[in-house]
Amino acid sequence: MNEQACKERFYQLIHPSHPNEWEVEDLLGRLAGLPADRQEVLLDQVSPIWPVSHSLCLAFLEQGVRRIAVPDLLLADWVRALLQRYERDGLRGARTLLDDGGVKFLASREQSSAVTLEQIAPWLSLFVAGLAGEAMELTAGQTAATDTVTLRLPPEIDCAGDGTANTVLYKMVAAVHVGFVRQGTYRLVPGNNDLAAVRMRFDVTPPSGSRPSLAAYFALFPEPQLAADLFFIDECRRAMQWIESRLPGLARQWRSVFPELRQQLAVEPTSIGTAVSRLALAVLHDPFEPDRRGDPSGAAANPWPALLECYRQVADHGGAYRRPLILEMLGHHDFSGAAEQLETRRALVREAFVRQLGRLLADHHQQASEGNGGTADQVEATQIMLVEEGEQGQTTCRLVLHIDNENCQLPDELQALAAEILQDRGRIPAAYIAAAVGVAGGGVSSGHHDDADAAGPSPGPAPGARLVDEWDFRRNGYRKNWCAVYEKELPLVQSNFVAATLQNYHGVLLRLRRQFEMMRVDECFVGRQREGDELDLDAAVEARADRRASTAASDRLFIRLQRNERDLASLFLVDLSNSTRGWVGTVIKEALVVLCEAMAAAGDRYGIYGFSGMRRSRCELFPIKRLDEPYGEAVTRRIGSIAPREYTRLGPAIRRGAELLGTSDARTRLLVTLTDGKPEDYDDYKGEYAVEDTRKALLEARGSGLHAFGVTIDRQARDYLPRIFGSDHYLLIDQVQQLPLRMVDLYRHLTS
Amino acid sequence: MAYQQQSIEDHRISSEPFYLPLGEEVSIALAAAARRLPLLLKGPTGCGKTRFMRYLAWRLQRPLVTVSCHDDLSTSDLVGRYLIKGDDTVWLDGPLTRAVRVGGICYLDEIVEARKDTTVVIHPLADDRRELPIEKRGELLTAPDEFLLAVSYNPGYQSVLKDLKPSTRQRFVSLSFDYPDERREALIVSKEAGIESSLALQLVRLGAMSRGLKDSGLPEGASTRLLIQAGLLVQSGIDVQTACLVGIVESLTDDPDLLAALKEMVAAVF
Repeated sequence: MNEQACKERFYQLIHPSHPNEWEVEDLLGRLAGLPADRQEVLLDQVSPIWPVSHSLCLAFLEQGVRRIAVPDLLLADWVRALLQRYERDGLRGARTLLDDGGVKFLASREQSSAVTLEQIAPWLSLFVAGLAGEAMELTAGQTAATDTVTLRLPPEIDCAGDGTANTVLYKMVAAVHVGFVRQGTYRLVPGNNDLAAVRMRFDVTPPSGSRPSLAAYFALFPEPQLAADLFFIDECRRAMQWIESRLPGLARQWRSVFPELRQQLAVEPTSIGTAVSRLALAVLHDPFEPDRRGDPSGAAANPWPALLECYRQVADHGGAYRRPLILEMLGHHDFSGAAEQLETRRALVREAFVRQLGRLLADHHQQASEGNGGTADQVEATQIMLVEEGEQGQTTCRLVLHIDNENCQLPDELQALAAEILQDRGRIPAAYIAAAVGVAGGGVSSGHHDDADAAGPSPGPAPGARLVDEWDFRRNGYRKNWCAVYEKELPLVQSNFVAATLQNYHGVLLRLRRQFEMMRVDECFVGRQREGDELDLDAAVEARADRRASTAASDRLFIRLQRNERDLASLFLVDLSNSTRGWVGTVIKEALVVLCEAMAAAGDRYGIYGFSGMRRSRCELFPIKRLDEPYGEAVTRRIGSIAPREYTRLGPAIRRGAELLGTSDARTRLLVTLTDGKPEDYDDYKGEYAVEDTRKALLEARGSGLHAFGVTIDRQARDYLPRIFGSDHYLLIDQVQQLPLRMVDLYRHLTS
Repeated sequence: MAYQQQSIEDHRISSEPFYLPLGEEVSIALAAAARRLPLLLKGPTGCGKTRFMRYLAWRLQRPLVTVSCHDDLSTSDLVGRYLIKGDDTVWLDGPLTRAVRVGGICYLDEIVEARKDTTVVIHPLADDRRELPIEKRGELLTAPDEFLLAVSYNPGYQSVLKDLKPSTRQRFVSLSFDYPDERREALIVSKEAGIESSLALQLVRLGAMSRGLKDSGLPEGASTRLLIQAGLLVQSGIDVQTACLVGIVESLTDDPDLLAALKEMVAAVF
């Protein structure tokens, strides 16, 4: 390429930006002096760098013209490292990695056996999900720990001499922390006797009024950190035993890398540290005590006396305690985080249990009172007991509700909730049942109040409003014309967001387009047609046989190539609430671009609407692409202008969306809702009320012949998604960056 | 060329198939059969629906005619057609007609895959009329008491274009199937693949781990059938990790991240 061609290509790549010519003239002039293949290699990197930083992009080209040590094959990796450094340390940081032409980058690449979380997270998160039985979010943290929902792992592990050993270490650390969760470490609480034992031993008085908790327990020791670490080591033993019994393959891999790690980690400066370190290494070497082998359950019931004894022995070594390296590597227990999660979970389970049992009781009593003419107040007087049914010693038992000397089976969902409470608390607290009786008797659980007046006198709807009903589960009826839905135009914004996304997803889009085009060309040979290109031999023989048998023969004797029209219309409702601020919002925008590109290939009819709003008087719907609108510049500009707004009042959006989709004459109509959290508004639209209204809105949509699905990016979503969308009618996305592909895949899956 | 009607005796199941009941499905199915009600089996792939039908046929001592439905299945394919034989024509019963005539069990596997115009043919058979009109012969077959119609489908992520019409589904007694619990699944795998119970338990644990990925991009986890398949490979002398890779992991997904994670799980479990 000559200078002019270089310039044109460059401006094309960075469109719609347009830097002054004098800024780049000299650089492009020198670029034109390079061989054509070098020019191509360098210009290929402009698209990824330019949107992040124009200066970095120009500096990169500058360096590229001078000298680059990195071979072409690794250039993309180097650029990725540059961009990461830029995001972390700014332009100056990135320049240190850029200015030597990649010599340092290459050296670190060759020498390092370190494994980073970023490298292995794509599969490690799935591995952890498999171990834990449900998805756990992986994030980088200083040391490994989990609050039972999120697993923090160090961003890099470089303890062993080669990458494989470091990878095994990652897996092992992750498995140990999953083991804590599976083994119930975070549910252990020392009893009052155990607290008393420590108090007597060290002659301390605890702060009055403190509830027995692990933090309070450790605080009684002269060196709380040491006590916590000794407990950690003992729990590691149980986790390792769990790994030995459940994951013998991983245990074997661990044994093969352990000797090397042992050497690296065994040296400790203080004698007390050495003692702790030795204990930890012994556990990691062989978690089974000689007399306990074959008893994988370990002795978790009461680890406290042994802990106190162990503390005494270790503390005898004297000196100050500093956490040894080996423990830094293994991580720590995050008791406060886990307690918080446990409380959240308990509250959710309690709420669901009380609600469902309350309904069951109300139904039961209604039936009973219809039978004998009693009143609903009698619910209060009913004798209710939950009885465990099943053989003694059997691990699974079913609960049976015992009302007024009658046994009543619990529905599966309630059964599961009860089992979870039993596992957590050992019994169903009487307060739960009392609350359920309250729900059944009063119809409304405490804590809820009717918000008809709470919202204040609502001004009449402004012109252009579409009034929709809202479902109030407490009164089991609709609030008529309750919400005002407005359609609002998004501003048309000029930005290079769409161009950059298309560039980033270039390879993926090629594949998607091919797949989606195949859906469009739904061609197949159909037999038994009145006219066609070829004779359908089967049909001809059959007709001949029919004629011989003196029955009326069919005249459908031909095969024809038929193009099946996909008679399908879809509407995507996208959450634009404030919680999508930040990169979630960016990924949602990217997902829409990818979706539009794929849909253009499939040729299906579709619309995209954003929704947001504040209170029932202002629910807003933003058309991004109307159903009959072609995908063009206006649509891409609207996608570019999407920004987080207010709250997620999902019900009205779904009702209006269903209405819009209902106007389409397509035979199959699909309504997909994309959200990042629970439905919630500024007023009382939250919790169960919001969930039930959304569920009702979807039921209405299904009732009018639409297919409704939900896509959600929310870790807590597992608790309410099945209730809202129904099982198998939703998709949960753990890793936000997967959204664009997963969403498009869902669509393909649903419609092929 | 000679056309031969398959003998109905070929469809009789002579020895007891291994089936481990997980709930009340057997007694319900027997009651439905006695009451001449059709059955709808739903559940994920490879969880034992087809095996259950074989077991039921054996219990009832009735022939079992299975049709795997596909989108090119025509009414003639089910009911029957005339064929030319020399100068003559011969009527050949389709599988459905054959089962109706002899009072057997007709099992339409993956019914949602069939075109909707084909599935309507079972409507008069699946209500109290219990009739099968054969238009070409001007014949109206009434099913004997022994005839049992059963259909199955997998309600997992289904295409919205392939759904069972309410008019079809509201004719059936529905039995829901799922994967058994760990202990019983291990028993099934061990028995079917002829492997030691400890290995079967490991396979089942691997299966359970893969099912934990259902919300993470894997449409369906490893079925009991896949676990048995891997067990059979091990039984034939294939190394257990290889057997799991080719028998389970590669059959589940093509996604590189999921593949990597599943391979790590295999390496961790064995």
